[in-house]
Amino acid sequence: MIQTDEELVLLSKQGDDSSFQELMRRYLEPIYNFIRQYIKTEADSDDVTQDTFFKAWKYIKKFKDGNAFKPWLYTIAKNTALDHIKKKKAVHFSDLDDLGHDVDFADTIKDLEPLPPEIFERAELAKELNQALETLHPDHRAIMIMHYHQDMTFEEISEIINTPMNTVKSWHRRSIIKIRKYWNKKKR
Amino acid sequence: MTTDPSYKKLFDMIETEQVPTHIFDAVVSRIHHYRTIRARIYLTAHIALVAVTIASLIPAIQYVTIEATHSGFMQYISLLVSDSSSIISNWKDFSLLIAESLPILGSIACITALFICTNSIYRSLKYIPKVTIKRYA
Repeated sequence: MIQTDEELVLLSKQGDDSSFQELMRRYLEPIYNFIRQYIKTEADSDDVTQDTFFKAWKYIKKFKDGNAFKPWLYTIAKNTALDHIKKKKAVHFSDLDDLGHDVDFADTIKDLEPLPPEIFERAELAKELNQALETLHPDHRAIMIMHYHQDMTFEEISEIINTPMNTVKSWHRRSIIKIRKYWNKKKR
Repeated sequence: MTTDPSYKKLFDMIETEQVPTHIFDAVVSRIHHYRTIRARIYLTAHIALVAVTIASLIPAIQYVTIEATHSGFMQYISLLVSDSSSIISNWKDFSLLIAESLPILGSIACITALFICTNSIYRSLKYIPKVTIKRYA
C-alpha cells in the first residue's frame, strides 16, 4: 500500500529512516529541477539540493501534523537557494526583486489564447522552451514549472513563494505572454 | 482566469535535468555524519557530567558526615541500635529529635549528585552505540 507523504512524515518524526528516504526518492527530481530554476550551475544545484533535504530531515520534528508536506519542502528549497545566491553574490539580490509590481496590460486579460498548434511541430521545441524560460525572472520561471510540470495549484505555489495568490496568477499570466512573444519573434 | 491545455502540453515537453545519482547517498551520509558527531558531543558532555558529579560526591559525603556529627544525628542512631527498647517507648520524642538533627542540606546535595551521576551514566551508555554504529545501508 502506497503511503501518503503525511504518513511518511509521521514515521520519519519517530526516527524511521526508511520513511524519510522514501520521501527523498519521491521529491528528489522535482526539487532538483525546481532549484535549477534559481541556480544554473550543476555543482551549486547539487549542494543546494543536499542542503534542502538535510534541513528537511533536521527540522522534520518541528513539522506540524495536518500541514501539507510538499509546500513545506519546496519552501525550504526556495529559501536555501536564495541564501546560496546571496552568499555567492552571483546575482545582485535587487535583480531578484525586480518583478514589476505595477499592473499592466497582462493583468487585464481574463483568458489567454491557446498556443498555435504549429508550435508543437517545431523540431527543437523543448530546447526553445528552455530558452524562452530563461528570459523569465526565477520566481516566474519557478511558477511555470511548478504549475505546469509539477501540477501544483496556485494556492500551493503562493504558499511556497510567500506571495499572494492574485500576484502569482498575475505573474503566471505575464510569463505566458512573454513566452508567446518569444515565439513570435522566433517566427520572424 | 483559465489557461488553455496547450500550455500544459507544452510544458510536458520541457527538458528536465537528470538528478545526479550521488545526491541521494550524499544526503544519507551527511545525516549519518551529523548523528555521529551529535552523539559524540552528547557522550562527551555526559561523561564530563559523570566525572563532575563523582568529584562532587566526595565533598558532599564529607559534608553530610560533618553535619550529622555536629547535629547529633549519629549519636541518636547509635542510641537506637544500642538501646532500642527505651527508644521505642519514647518514639514520638525520639522521632522529633531525629527529624531536627537530619543533615538535610548535605543529604540533598548527595542525592542530587547521585541522581545526576546515574542519569548521565545511563545516557552515556545510550550514546555509545550511536558513536560507533556503521553507516545505515
